[in-house]
Amino acid sequence: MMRLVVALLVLALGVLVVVSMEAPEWILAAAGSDWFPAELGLGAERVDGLFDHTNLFAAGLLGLTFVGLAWAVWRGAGRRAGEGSERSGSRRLEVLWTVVPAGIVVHLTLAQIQARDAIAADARGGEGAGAPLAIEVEGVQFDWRFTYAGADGAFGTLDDVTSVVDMPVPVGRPVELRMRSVDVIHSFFVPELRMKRDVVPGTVTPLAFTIDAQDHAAAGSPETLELRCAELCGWGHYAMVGRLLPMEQHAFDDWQARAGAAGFEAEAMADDVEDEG
Amino acid sequence: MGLLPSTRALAAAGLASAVSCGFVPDRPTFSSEVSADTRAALAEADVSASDVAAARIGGALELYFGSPSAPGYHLTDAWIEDERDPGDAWWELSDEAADAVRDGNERRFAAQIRAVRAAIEAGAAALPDLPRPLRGGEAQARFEAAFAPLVAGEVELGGLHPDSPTAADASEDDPSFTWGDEALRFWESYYPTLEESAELFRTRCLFCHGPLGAGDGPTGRTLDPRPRDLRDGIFKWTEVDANRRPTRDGLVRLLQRGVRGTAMPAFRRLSRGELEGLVDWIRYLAVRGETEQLSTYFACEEGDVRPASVERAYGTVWGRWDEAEDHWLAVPAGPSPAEVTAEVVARGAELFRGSLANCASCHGTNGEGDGEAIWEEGEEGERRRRLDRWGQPSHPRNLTAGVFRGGGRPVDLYRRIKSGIGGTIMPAADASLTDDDIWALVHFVLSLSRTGGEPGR
Ligand code: HEC
Ligand code: HEC
Ligand SMILES: [Cu+2]
Repeated sequence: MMRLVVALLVLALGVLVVVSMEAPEWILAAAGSDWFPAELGLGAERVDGLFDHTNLFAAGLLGLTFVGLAWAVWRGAGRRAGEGSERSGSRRLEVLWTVVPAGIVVHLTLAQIQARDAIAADARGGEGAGAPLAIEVEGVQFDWRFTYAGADGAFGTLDDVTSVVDMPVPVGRPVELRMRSVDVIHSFFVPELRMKRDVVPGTVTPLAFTIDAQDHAAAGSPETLELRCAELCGWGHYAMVGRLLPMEQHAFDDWQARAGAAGFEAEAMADDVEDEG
Repeated sequence: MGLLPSTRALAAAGLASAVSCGFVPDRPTFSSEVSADTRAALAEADVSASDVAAARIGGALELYFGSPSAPGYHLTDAWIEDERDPGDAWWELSDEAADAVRDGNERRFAAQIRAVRAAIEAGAAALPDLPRPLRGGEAQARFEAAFAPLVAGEVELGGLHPDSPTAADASEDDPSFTWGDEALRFWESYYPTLEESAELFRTRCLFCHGPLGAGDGPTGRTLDPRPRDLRDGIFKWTEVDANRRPTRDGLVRLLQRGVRGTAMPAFRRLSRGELEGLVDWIRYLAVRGETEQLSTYFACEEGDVRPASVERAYGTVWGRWDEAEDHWLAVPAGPSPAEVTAEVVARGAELFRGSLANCASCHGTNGEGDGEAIWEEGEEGERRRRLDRWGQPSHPRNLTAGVFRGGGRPVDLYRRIKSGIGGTIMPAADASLTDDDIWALVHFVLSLSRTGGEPGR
């Protein structure tokens, strides 16, 4: 009797754990809200899909384990207290618990490889996407700094445009980052894009993404997305937050032209302002 | 059951190890004590009873500036006549800056503004809560005082505000407004008081710049370059002639972009209102520090602390800050990117190495920061780097690295070269250099780090 109660408790615990792995997403989805931030990057849904898929396997496997555990508690032990039943050399069982997990691991690996390639292709905008916009990203304790090539499309020329914290990007156009770190390892992370990549000193790390115009509009055209550093990089890590500013291509062109020209323009005191005073 | 004591023991052990590693930062204190520099100067000079003199200067500072935890300015007669209070700088903002503050508020307090609108529409009496960083502080008290009858339920959001003209008196210029309008106005034209800005400084800047802005915060001590001593009123990366006081807008832009290549971060994510408030606080620390320095100087000259001299110091220092805009450095039109030819760069190189501009003497022939003019003979005859105003050894920039602290755009470099860099050994350009000469220097400097489209740096 006691054993049955414990076994049922174990089973209940298993149900609780498994449900807690899957339920929040269903409940929130039923309530019309999202478990994850909006998927704004091309290929973002593949990341979520992979997550759900892996999670499902993990939950299933965990559930089975709990069932086995409960069964072992209830029936597995000997009839009298302190007396265990013994099994050894069951080839069938050995094969089963080697092949099934191995199959799952191989399956998940293949799914990930496939997703990774698909995400990389999506992130470049897929076929027929325009020329990507290259941006140099510099992570430095504790700021994000950006360099744009300007109208001539070449870096290291006079019309380069620099920006700190704010990173304007055109919606719907593939963006290609070349990321460097000045000091320690940082990590470029924009949750809505489902993109996260370490920025390692001494090397240039590429990262491509495209903001999906339709998804962006569907999410209410957010004007800023947070860009966080996802690698503990020192005492100011918490404050190393930039802002991705999605905008229409023409607004981006305007911004780039204005910011570039501002560096060359004469700056004089406006006379009329003084006169009015 | 044994859990609690053992956790406690663990925590205690953790604490003990932290203590033994020496990782417990000092607790900076807010006080209106005079600085060690002032004490030393008074003790050295011919001032009778220097301890008493120091205490009197401290007392005078408290009179003129309150204490840093209850800050404010002593209002001079002229200000009272003009109805000016620099402690409430909202009225000093340019129209553009005021608009930018309102824009920033609309975003920062979007939730509050929306809630007030909804409450007005629903005829509800409740007011929205303050956003979290403001809750419980000075702003909360201000808010509650302004809307006490509303909070007590004595009036309605739609009711006429007591300051409003009545329906009969209202005109187009002076329309009537309700409690709801007043609540909206509170959020839309919100401007931090000195006290609130001090609090923001405490959370964002103090650990580097120190409680009184002396550049001696717990983190600041290990940095190179050291955080600025804000009590000096001398800044490096300004838009004014070197060693003049910076303009408000210049300081806002500085805070927004940070100082590249140093630990000074960019505070672009703060709202314009918060930034203007920080500028108010920088000015408070500077005016206070400068008044202390100048009063001490007068006291040393006069052998005593005289109230009239402290007042003179206060007036002189305010004069410096009030004329900041007059020393704003306009930048004349320079060559566009297409006009920057090899000749322009070659002319710049010639000037850079020539004896008139003489940049190479510090920055080295190739701009690598290895010139000879930065060395001097120390007290014991040793060769040492010349020191800047804050006692730090000078390191002329390696211009081939392409990292410019005051901004890397041509206009930024124009200002740097034209006016020199405040507080450092880098002098203003020789007055006989023409605008074109300066632009040529700018473009030579930029060419040193430009890769011309080649990848990599
Ligand atoms: C991580 C440390 C750090 C923090 C935090 C920090 N600063 Fe600084 N700050 C510095 C350093 C270092 C410099 C000196 C840069 C130089 O010499 O070029 C500096 C310089 C300055 C200057 C002078 C710039 C000039 O033109 O000379 C001002 C003004 C300033 N900081 C204000 C602030 C304010 C306001 C805050 C908070 C919102 C702040 N700082 C936060 C490190 C810091
Ligand atoms: C007496 C020595 C000296 C001379 C002469 C001098 N400089 Fe400098 N310069 C310095 C020092 C020191 C610094 C670094 C200041 C700091 O960051 O504290 C500097 C910094 C700079 C910077 C970097 C500004 C930034 O935003 O980071 C530039 C550009 C520069 N100098 C250009 C010039 C040019 C052009 C000339 C000639 C007209 C010149 N300098 C003459 C000492 C000198
Ligand atoms: Cu980081």
